[in-house]
Amino acid sequence: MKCKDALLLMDKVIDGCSTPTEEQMLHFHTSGCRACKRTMMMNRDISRVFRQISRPEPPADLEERVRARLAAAASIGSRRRPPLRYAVALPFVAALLIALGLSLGRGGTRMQETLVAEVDKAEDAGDSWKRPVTTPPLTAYIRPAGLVTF
Amino acid sequence: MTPALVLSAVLAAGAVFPPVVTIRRERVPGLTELSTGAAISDRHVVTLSAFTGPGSSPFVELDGDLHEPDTIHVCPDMGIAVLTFDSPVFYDFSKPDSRVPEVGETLVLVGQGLSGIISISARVVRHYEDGALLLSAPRMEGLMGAVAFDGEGSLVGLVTGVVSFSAHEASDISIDYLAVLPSQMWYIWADLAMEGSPRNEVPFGITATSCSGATGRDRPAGVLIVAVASGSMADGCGLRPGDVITRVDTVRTYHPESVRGLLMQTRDSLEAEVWFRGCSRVISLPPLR
Repeated sequence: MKCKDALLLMDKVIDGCSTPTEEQMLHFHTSGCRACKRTMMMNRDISRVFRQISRPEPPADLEERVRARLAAAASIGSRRRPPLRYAVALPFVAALLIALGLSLGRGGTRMQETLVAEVDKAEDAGDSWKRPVTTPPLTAYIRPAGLVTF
Repeated sequence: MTPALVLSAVLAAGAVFPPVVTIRRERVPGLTELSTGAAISDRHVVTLSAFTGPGSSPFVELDGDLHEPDTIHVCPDMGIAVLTFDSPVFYDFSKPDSRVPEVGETLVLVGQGLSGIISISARVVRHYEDGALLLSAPRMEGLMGAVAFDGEGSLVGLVTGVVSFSAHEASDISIDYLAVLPSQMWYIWADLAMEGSPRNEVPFGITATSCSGATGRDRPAGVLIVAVASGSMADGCGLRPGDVITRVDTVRTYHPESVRGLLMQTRDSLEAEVWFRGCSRVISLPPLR
């Protein structure tokens, strides 16, 4: 198996769509190919993190908070009646509050915690190629001109 | 497409460029730097000179083995280096192509990411005044020193840095403007380096430097003659301080080493286009060996 084929097969294996034979073939390849093994480990990490952050749980008190805010908005409305065009926007405001609750509430914190935990775990696993290895940064393009005599 | 699929697609695309190799060196104690090089013969790798020193030696990683070059030739002006191995190391290599990509042409940049070889598409935006190409490409880690290939898979240049027009643009958009030193500018120097950087036995008699069109209001980019030795071959050809050699034979020249290399590789005299104070003339330059 060539690296190109292994990379394509890797996704099937990680997504759980591969046959046992395919998984065995990939295992055989990665046990002899360091580059593909590294890629496989990284893809697994990415996949694991994304699986965990793709289903954030809404905070338990979200419904109560939204209802309270809607009630507060209604009471303000009864005291100072808003023009009709603002009343039309109220459902959108409610939707925005729900979205904010999802991202700023406990769900968001969990996402952050998951990411931090994953990074810590990867580092603790002793993957030495992840920590002390770097690539050169893109630096500003400058071309000095020296004197050449010939 | 899952992130893993996107990543794999990128890595798989990189796998079709076998001349690209990983250069590994200990930049500071405990920190290994992975950078990009391109095998241009079975014994030579071209890369940015910044990846070869100072202090620690670079190693070329190939099939899991590390190979230390026997000699390193550096061209400080162009910022590139040729790593030379005494015995053949590379089965796959790509000679630099002298064709300069057109504006609007799509190139493939192959670089060294942390997880392996990466590749992305980039578009030639314009020809820079000093001969470099300006490319627009998605912002991505690992592009410094990346190797540029054209649609035919020919090696047409190396990424030598980022060009930021302003801090505002650089921070708000997710693309980089990259400077690529086209192979056309350095392949003659690289040819000489592969031969061990021989000096010309007969001195030509000039001291010259690169000049970009931006430094003088009307002066074109090319090789600016700073001094001419009295009674030398260059003096006999009619070269004078202030002349700019813009072309030798059919090659657009930007660097003195290109002129020297062309004169060392030829057996016959070559015609050169020389600019001086708004006027161009054609002179004949003799071979140097």
